[in-house]
Amino acid sequence: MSQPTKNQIYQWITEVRQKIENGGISEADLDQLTTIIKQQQVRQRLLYIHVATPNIRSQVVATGYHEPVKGSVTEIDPDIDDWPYRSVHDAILDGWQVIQFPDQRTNFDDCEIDVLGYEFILQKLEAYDD
Amino acid sequence: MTEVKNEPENNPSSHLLTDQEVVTFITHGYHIVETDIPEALNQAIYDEISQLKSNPGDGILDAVPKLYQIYDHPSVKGALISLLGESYQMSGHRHCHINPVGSRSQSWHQDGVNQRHHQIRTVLAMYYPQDVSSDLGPTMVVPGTHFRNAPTDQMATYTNFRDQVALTVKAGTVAINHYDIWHAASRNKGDRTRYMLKFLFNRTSEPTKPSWNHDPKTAEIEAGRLGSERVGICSQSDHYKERGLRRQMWQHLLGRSS
Repeated sequence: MSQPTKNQIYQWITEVRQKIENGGISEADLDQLTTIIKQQQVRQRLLYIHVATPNIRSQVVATGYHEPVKGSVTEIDPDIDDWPYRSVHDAILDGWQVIQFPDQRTNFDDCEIDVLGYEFILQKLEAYDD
Repeated sequence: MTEVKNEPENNPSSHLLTDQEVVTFITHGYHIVETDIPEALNQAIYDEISQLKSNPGDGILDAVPKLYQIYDHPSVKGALISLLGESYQMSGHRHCHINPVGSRSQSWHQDGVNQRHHQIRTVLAMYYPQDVSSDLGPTMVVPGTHFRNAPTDQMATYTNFRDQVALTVKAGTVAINHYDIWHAASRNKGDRTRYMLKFLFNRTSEPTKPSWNHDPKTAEIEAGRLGSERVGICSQSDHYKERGLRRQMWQHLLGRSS
């Protein structure tokens, strides 16, 4: 839940407590709370993490964030120096949920190498007020 | 035309790569040639490209003949001979990559289709007629990926690699890349268009001996890196296989395999 929404609900609770002391709440107060909750939209943030092995504690090879905001861009950043997670486990500790695990039984070749790392897809459901 | 005098420094054989540089090319998949091409020539090429009404594709060499001077530069030729042999040839395919202000980054890709060998048969020689800082949309590469037979479709979900390298270079630089290396142009956040001329060069004959500045004793030491050096994060199994592929490439260059 976003902070502005939380603040509105806390304010609503404060006002309703006063109303209870002064004789009770009305249907209109509940309608107001419904409106506040409806304002927020829960959307899915996505994080693609490629790690060295299928183990969630192995080293991060690459990351890509996809924000659920119209016009958002996910692209290569030559100056990137912000790597908040060293592993998928680190991201889980920060509230990300894994929604796709790599298949351990990937194609195997004794000599050749192909894609780099194993892909995990994670999500965070967050509220947006717009 | 820039006058080329018959001095040793103008002879490509004075600019051959060392064993250390060739081994680094094998492990990383690219080599940066910083030339002494005069700023006036780089600027003239930049200006001529800017004035083209459309991108001539393979015709860029006819449209901007000054580009001959870049790829005839002794330090460029020395590097190409080292990697492709004396009889290397310029391909008829080439392209002027225009990265305008406000562009978005490309997706990671390999050019064409994957080559199912681990030799140096084609290189991408990327010339930059202007300085390229990190905000001017530098070419990005992922070291070591030239050994990976991965179709570009399967790279679509990668964004930023821990080990990616931005080719931030001075005007006049030619970056020589193995054909299969994973690369992409990044967003141009600067205030001018960034040009990159990509010319392809091919090997035309099998190596029978080293074509670089080879010293067997030095080479023996440098070749040890093929079996140990890590150029990026990957699994241990991939790294074991990578070592084998590097040795294949090295043996081929030495003329010891077909």
